Amino acid sequence: MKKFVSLSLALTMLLSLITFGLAGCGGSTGTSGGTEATAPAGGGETQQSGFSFDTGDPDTLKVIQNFDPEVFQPGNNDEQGYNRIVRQIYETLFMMTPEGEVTPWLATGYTWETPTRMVITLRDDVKFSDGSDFTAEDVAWTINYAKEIALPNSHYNVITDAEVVDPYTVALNLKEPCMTLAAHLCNSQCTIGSKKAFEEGKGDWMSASVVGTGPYKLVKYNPGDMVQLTANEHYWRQGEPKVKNIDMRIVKSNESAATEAKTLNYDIVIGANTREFAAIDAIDGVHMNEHMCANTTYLLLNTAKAPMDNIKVREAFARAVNVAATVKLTYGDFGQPASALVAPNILGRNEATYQKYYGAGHDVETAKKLLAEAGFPNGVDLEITVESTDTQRCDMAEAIQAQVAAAGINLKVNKMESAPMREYLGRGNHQICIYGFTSLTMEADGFLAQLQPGSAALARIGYDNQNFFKKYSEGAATEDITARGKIWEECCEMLMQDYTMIPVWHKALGAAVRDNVEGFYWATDYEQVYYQFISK
Amino acid sequence: MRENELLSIENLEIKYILRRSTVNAVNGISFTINKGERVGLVGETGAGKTTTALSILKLIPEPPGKITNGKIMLGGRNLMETSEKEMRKIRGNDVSMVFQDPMTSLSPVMTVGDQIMEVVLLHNDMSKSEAALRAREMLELVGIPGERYAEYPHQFSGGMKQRVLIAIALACNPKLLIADEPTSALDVTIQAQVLELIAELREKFNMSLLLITHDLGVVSETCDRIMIMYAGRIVESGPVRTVYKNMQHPYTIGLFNSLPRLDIDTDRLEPIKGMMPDPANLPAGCAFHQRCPQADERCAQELPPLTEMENGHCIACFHAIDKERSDG
Amino acid sequence: MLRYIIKRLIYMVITLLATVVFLFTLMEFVPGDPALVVLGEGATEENIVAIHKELKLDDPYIVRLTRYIGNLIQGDMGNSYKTRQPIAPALFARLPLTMTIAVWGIIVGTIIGLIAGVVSAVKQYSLFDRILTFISLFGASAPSFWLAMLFVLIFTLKLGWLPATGSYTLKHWILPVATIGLQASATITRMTRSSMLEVIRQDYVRTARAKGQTQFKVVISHGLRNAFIPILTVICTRINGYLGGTVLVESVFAIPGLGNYVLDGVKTMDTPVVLSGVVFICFMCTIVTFLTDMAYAFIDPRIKSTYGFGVKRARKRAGLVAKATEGGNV
Repeated sequence: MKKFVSLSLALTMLLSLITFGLAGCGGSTGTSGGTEATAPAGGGETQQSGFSFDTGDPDTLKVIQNFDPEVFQPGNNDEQGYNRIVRQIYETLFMMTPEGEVTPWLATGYTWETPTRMVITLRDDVKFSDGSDFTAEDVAWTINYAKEIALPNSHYNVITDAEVVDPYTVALNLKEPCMTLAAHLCNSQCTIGSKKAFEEGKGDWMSASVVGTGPYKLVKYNPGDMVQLTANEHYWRQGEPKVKNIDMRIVKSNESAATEAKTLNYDIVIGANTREFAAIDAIDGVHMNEHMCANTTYLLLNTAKAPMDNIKVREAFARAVNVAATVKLTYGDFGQPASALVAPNILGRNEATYQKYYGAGHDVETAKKLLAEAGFPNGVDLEITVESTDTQRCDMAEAIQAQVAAAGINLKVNKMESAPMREYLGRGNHQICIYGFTSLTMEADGFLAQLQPGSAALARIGYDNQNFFKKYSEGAATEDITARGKIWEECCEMLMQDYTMIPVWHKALGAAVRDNVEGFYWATDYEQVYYQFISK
Repeated sequence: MRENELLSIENLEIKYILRRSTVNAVNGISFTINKGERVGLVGETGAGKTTTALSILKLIPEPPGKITNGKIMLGGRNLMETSEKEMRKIRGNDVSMVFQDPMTSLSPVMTVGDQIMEVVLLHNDMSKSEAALRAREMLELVGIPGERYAEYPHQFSGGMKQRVLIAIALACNPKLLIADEPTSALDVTIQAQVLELIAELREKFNMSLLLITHDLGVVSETCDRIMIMYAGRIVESGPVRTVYKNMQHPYTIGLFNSLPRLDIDTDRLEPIKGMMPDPANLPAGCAFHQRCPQADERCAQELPPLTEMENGHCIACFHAIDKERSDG
Repeated sequence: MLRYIIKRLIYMVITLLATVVFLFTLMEFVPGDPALVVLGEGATEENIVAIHKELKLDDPYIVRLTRYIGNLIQGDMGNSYKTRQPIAPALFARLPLTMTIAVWGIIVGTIIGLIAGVVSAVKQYSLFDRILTFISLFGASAPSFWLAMLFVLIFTLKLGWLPATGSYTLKHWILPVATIGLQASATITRMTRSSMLEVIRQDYVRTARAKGQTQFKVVISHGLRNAFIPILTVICTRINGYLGGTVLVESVFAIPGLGNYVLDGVKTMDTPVVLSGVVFICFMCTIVTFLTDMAYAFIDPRIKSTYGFGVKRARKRAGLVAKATEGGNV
């Protein structure tokens, strides 16, 4: 009996030793778990191996967000969450002001040598975090390399190659004219890496090659758990970043993020459950920072698939949906119900045109009439596809299902995981889907570009209007911003006239920010947060 | 308590109280066992023999069992008033029991040596090695080579397991050994060996023996006195020779008559007609009257008391008692 | 004894191999072009072709299978389609976290379960037994994430004693381990109770009592000790279950464990991650099963002696006793 007890105790101790041993090895020195940036640093060996809880520490920003980067490569991923992290390490050539204007950043300016050749001049006082100089070589290499290994960066689609003109001048050769290219280059995905670091580090995007010009550099990454950043002492902008360190924790569950926001243990919480925003705001010491952004959620109607190929059916569907009620149910007072095809402040937005086609609003009788005219007097069966992990969009789909039933439309809700859904939609067999588009350049072209031939998203609306494509190319080649804006409005009108989609919700962004944190703002072009401007 | 008496039971009643019914397992039995005496307790299945034996060690499962009446005196102590703690000192030490089925009576996960050692350590202030030694001695005593100390029960045959159980029972030199059908689960040749062993050791240690069995032949060989139980009562008891030569109770007679005999040619055996009454539903009067060829009205209504007739020979039957009175 | 271990090891390797082949084949049926996963939405034709060449996606099935197994043996579990980074380091980084929750959860669950099971078996039908059965049922039916959120609501938001997410200090582990522990204890209590009920009626328990042994020792040394094998089986199955199955608890507490990693791979159709992740989890499970088999041999003397465990030690003990006997002059 004693033997048995001692045996089980021994086994227990052995097991716990193993688990804690593994955890210990993984946690502190980063051999198996967590990588420490081994980039040569000119001083400042701030190796934090543990996560401290002192929110009062003025030198560290404690942030919770919901994306796990997994790798730190410029342009590796097109998701906003990824670039919110990686953008702190690398920088872009141009940047958008909070008002939506393109300003030079790493570049000093650009000219159009020809409509298909953009020449960019660069700053000469920028250094990478390893002390080496930032030159045109790095810019050209970054863009050419991204194209070579086919990184998913759609902003570079129009570029054929990048050329070094002189150490601080680079030229981009384009396939066709694109007047909004500078705005595209503001996008957080278009960050510039270090050619030298790539070659010397042999492309180790976990530590050795992670060298950028940005305000922060990577200290430590625990996969799935946390990213630790510290100030780049070679940063070209004086006085920034204002807070020396950032501890970014990865919390994917939006419920848990909301809970953490309420505990006041973190300075900034991104990714909390939107339904908790009011509760969080009500707590003393923390407030919600909300801002409209450039994304709109649409019901995309596949004009290539019956019965949606009949415009009357599409229009009927638009009438049968009650946009305002849907938004109220799904998002409450957060964001805005659609009032135009694209979000507020986007060039190309025209509320009048929207009113013309969708202004009649929710009207079941008209919907039924239109259906009858289309040949469906007894109603019709339709299917709507939505991403299963997005609970709010699923709620939206179900709300719509109930609404359109009144008009005789039997709507089936098809929930799919994101990757299979992408495939399904890409094949064009769907009828309706819920999807969002972001006008990344603060112009409608950011969204229109995704509906051009060659783009996977075009299959979602199955639209084959040559006039529309021609108009878009014309707009892309128009240098004058006012003229361009008019063209975007015309493109949008074509989409609305043909009822290719129904805008539902203009997205808002929300973060829970502690009251002692200053300088936090949402950069609406790409839902970006610039930590270098934040102080506590 | 007379000087020679070891165990004295008076008017013991034991019931099993179930939800819908109450089983009257033992209904008022009294007997004594003297020092060094060998007593056989005979009866068919369900007569209450095992229950009686368990009650001596107070091993009756408390719910649902209950000793509702009676006294159990062991060496002057009333066991009914003894605490559980004190009882533990008695079990295995003063009174030991050997059970019926050796195959399942040993813990499969302990060595036989350890199981003997366990009982030694419980009742003696010895070191582990001393106790181990004693265990080994006991093994040798029951005819098992000492090297098999560290083996497990599944490595032994049924007969050897029973020997181990006997070794356990006798390890602390008890005054009374209760053997509840120790050989019923073994085959006949082994049976003889085990019984011989018990007899040998009993003499060696000078213990009293209460042998519970349904085998009349075994009783005649090994016991001094016999008690016959029926439906929770003793119907006949006395010195073995006396009872065997001059059985009086119709049940006893029926039992012996149902034995197959070598000297007479028979085609059929003669069982006793009927079955033992349901202990939850005992009839009034003599429990045997429904099956008794001599039963009359009185038997159906009055319970015959266990009355002593000749020397030590007691009977619980009106007919027998009357006959005796009229004779004597 | 060596024979037993070797036999078990061979079974382990065969099981693993069969699992790998099975899973690999299963993954073949996943629809879609992996190149699209790697390249995302903006994929052009030439990029797709380039990726196919680079990842050798067009090689025949057998070639790819043998290559995968060959790599596995060398410790290379392939690269993720999404991040193009090796998978093995990621898995090993996450293993300790999941193991900690699983193992400690089981330990807590076993302690609670054994005690509760034994007590409720010994005092069958008592109030204690009925309350415990009810709690067991609750623990077994309550979804783990709900339980986790309940704990967070009480201990973090209302009382402020424990942190809501993370796995940094001991305090952080209390809630996740408690959640899993409570769930595990439910099954273990039930198994202990039923196993004990069977055992407590056995004859050898009666023998032990007849020796004058205390109730406690009877229940534990004679009762539980014999009842333990089925309980051990349940414990092993639970550990295996939790190796990949702590996903929900890990989600709530933002602990990056194995299950979530594989699940993310499923969501993004990152086939190598799913394949290697599941193979890895299976590998851990086989190890756990192997260890349990070894444990059986130690606990059950019938297995012990059949395979010759401890024979040498037994002989030594008997010999010692023999020597002592001779020395002591019986």
